[in-house]
Amino acid sequence: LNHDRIATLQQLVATIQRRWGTRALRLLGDALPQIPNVAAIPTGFPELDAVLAVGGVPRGGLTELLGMPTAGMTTIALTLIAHAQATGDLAGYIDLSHTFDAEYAALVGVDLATLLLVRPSPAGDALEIMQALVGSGGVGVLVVDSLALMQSNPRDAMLLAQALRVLPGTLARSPCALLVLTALPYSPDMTRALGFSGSLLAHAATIRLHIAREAWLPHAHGAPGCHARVSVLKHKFAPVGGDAQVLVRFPERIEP
Amino acid sequence: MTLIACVSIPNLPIMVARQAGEGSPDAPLVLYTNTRQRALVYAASPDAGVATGMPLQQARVRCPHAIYQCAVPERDGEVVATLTALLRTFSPRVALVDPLPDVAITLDLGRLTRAQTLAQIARIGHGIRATVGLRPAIGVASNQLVARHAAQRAGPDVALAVPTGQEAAFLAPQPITSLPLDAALLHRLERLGVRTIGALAQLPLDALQAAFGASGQQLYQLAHGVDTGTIALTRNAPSLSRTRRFAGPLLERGLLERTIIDLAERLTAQLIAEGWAAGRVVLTLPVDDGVPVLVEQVLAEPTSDRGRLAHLMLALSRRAVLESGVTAVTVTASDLTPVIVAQMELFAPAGGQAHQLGAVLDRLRGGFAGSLLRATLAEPAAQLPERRVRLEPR
Repeated sequence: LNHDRIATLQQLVATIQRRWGTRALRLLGDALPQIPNVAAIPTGFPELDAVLAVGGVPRGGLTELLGMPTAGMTTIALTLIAHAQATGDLAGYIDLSHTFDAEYAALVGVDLATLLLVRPSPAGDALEIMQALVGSGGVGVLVVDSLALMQSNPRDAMLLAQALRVLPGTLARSPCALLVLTALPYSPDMTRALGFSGSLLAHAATIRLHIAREAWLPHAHGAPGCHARVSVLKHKFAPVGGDAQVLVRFPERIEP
Repeated sequence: MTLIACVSIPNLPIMVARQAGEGSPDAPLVLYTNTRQRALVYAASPDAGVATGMPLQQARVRCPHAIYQCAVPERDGEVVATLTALLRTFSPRVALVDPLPDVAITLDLGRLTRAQTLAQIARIGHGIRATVGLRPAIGVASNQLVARHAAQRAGPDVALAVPTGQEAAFLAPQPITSLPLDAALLHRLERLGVRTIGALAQLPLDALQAAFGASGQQLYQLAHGVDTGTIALTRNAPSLSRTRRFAGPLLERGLLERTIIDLAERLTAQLIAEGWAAGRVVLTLPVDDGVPVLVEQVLAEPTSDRGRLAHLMLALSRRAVLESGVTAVTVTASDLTPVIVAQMELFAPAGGQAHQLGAVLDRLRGGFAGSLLRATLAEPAAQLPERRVRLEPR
């Protein structure tokens, strides 16, 4: 931009701000948006907490974690539950995919005695249970694995769309941090079909994170694990585009 | 939407007199006053068959076997005053809508959930029975008109709540004489054959306006259970505050925030001890060379949660633009409301949420019996994974 254009732009901004206030329009270069003080539950991964900008998974919001299987999504979710339980929060796990491994959860540190495990037989029930638990105000963290499965059935997809319209309001009034896991298929074409972008879930989410495994840990490091890269696809409180490398360790089972 | 409760005690003088041991429980009781050298019926039990304001001589002819006693209006007035004072502990907006002998008092309950409303009504009823020994009828609705009708329909010790949106359906069978209309208007409606509120509600607005002019709009609203009247504030909601002064101007943010958290926790302890929930929080920061910085926030729902209030105060302090040293900190919780209900529900830090969650889980167990599970490690040494973990209904 030449000097005349800059002067014109500044004059225009000044005119608008005089008439409608300084918050009506501002140049991002002048003042970067401040990150509000949002209550959050630490994930247990400092690098991930840093990239989330609010110190963890925000309470009163929906966080979607997308990634291919074996990227470490479940481990991150279970670690979050363990951290929430350690601070006195009640945790719930809605297991739509019927893949919840109680033994592994216990190894990660989840207190199974206080965990609310929900396995709804028709998937549609999950939405009602989820809304009831969120609305109760008594659950600190609720993990849903995974709502994307409902999009394959037209009736369930319609129920999901209806639920997602009212869920953000209920969620905003509750102290619950809702974490939705979305397992992406290996085929990139299917990724778009499963709501990687443009779905109602994406619209309702406060934060969307994409996790991708970069490398397995060498055996010499002891416990198995992987380096995963977490990218921020959407963030209502902070700029998007940030990413971080997270070291995910999988606790080893002690075979009998 | 706010809810209005109407506490109705029909024939209060008779109930008070019977409570004082006057008359006989088996015989009709009539109370009278001597005004303008003429004795008139002040109040009468329903089985006497006499009306308030009837000459005493006429009443004696109509019900010769009743017990006739001189009324004590001062005593009844004291009971009404006690009742009003009691209800003011539940809401700052209380109004006496029907004076003696058929007392009706409305109060603004604020925004409550269904469970909270039921709990609050139970508290009000219990409070009235414990304080004045009377058995109230309570009506709850979205406005005063419907709440009064609900209270009139409910019997002693009964509460009737009209769901929001059902006002017109609730009023439909009632006679139009129960609407607050002048006699001439009622007479005209009766001549038109309109005898119930439901019949009035069926008339279109333009027809009512054509027939009754300016009153047509009012009639239409009343018939549909719409009453936009509000209850005036009868007392200012109290507030509590805590202040700490510094020896000199403070510039360090960290120390300031620690002070704010400490003051917020002390304030919350006082709120909990005195049974209040804050509807608004204010943070005042006097600075050494200028006007004190004042930031406030109105809460969507009153709270006495320690963590939430401390978090709010901290957030307010971060909103404040401080260009010079702070000399003192004052944290204030205002628009206080009693936590009689709030503590039982979502707003309580732990107990209330557990209570609410327990109710939700009970409901879910009823509807989704097989979906709520508890995972336990049954046989950690077992060879088969499915034997190591057991999933059982929660």
